[in-house]
Amino acid sequence: MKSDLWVVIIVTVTFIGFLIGYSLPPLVETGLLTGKGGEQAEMTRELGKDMEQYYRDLQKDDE
Amino acid sequence: MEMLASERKNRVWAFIILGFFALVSVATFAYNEYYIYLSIYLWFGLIYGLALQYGRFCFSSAFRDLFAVGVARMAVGITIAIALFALVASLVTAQGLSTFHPAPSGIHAVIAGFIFGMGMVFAGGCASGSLYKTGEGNMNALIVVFSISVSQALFVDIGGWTNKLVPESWHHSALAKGLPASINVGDGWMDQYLAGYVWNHPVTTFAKMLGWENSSALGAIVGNFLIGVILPSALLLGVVYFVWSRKAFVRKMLKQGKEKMTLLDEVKGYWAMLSASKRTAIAGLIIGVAAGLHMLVLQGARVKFGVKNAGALLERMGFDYGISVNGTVFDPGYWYVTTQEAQWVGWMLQKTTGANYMDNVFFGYVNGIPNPAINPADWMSLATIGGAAIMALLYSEFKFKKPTLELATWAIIGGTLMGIGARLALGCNIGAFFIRVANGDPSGWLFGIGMVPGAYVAVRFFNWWTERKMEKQGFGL
Repeated sequence: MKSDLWVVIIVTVTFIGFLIGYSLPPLVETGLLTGKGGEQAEMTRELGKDMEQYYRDLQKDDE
Repeated sequence: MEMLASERKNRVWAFIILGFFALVSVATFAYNEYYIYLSIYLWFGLIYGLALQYGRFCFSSAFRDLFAVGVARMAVGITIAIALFALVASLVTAQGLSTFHPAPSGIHAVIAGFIFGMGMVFAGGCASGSLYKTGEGNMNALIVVFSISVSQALFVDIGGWTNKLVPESWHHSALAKGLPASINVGDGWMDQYLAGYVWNHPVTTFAKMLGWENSSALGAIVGNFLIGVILPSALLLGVVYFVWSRKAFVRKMLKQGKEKMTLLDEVKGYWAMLSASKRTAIAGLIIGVAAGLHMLVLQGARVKFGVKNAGALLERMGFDYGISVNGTVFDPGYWYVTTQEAQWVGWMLQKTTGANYMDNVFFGYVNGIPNPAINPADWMSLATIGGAAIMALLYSEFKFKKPTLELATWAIIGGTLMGIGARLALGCNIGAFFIRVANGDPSGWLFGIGMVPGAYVAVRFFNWWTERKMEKQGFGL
């Protein structure tokens, strides 16, 4: 019975491990799990230079 | 040889159940990524089921053993489990990642606890205990589950003559809340009880009462964990030791030739009481860690999908039936037992009778009645039964037990009382007690304060009932 229980434990831990791996990165990315005082990271308002140029080019195409 | 064949059969069934849950998770995830949210509930539910069956974790047994025969093992085990879960929960809360929301604290929680405590002793199992016993093949426990489910669904929608029992102040207060017209909050006892009475009570935690933020380390660890859980738990265990466990330890010491108990002996006795409930404590440790992790993982999924409630996900997946007027469904974010049981009956009644079960606060405004097949919390409950079945099958403890007429009657009476108590308290022995106490919510202790005398009265009643029955059958002395 013991080895059977281990199979159940391994399968369960595998699924739970996947769920943790799936769910925790967003918490880290938003700063909720990185010791930043538990505050959610703010959205970046500034556009990168590449993106800015991309939008300028779009406008040029319209013209 | 016979034994080996049955063991092999049990083993096959255990793996079929496990395989079924694995298949459901993988297939639904492949079909739509959002189903992973439901799988989170499923796999944590499975762990709860495995641990509940392993530790025979039942609040009803705890009180019955304590009051009827003076055995404190289960009561101590449950208290240890609360402390262990509280430790994990406080760490999660200190990170600002807790999904826990406290409930309104008031005398209603004590009354509800009293009704629930009586019900669980009559039924022979609490809300969570009945789930794991169902997984063991106990059909009486299944009747309890059905009874809790049906009584809740009917109780939350109760109207008609019960409106006359509603105090005027509740009625006016409920109307003043400005709820949507579809809820019709001025009609129905439970609606006016919730919106006109319960919601007016303070919602707080030990941390907040001490002037700290819940998500601060001081609030979560010192306020909610140490002051809100450890201190009262240690006092409670002290009472259990001096009233019930000490006698046996003193007898043991006397046998060893010790005539007087020293302070060190008392400490040894206290420790012996704590360590006697090893199996329940291990189950408590597993449940504690899993319940804390459950909150963390669900919070992560919510952030990932940009939702605060599963209702939004269900709508994205194309399911809009049974979603509350607020766009929500029952999605507690942690372990819960009874609300989802009410939901599937509410869904079924609305589908089969055509009656509107969405015009009350419980279903229509807060929890909804989504199809049980896509209800996150129902996935958790089914997996809890499945987890318990797996554990029972592997340890050859699975057995179909048909209920007798007498047991079934008690199951219905007890289950109905538990259903009513659970709705009055907004939760059962898990949602209203275990989870709330562990998260520093004083309403959890209030529920417990009611549950103890409720269980005591029911145990005394049962003793009287049994003696009377034996006398009638000619077994009297």
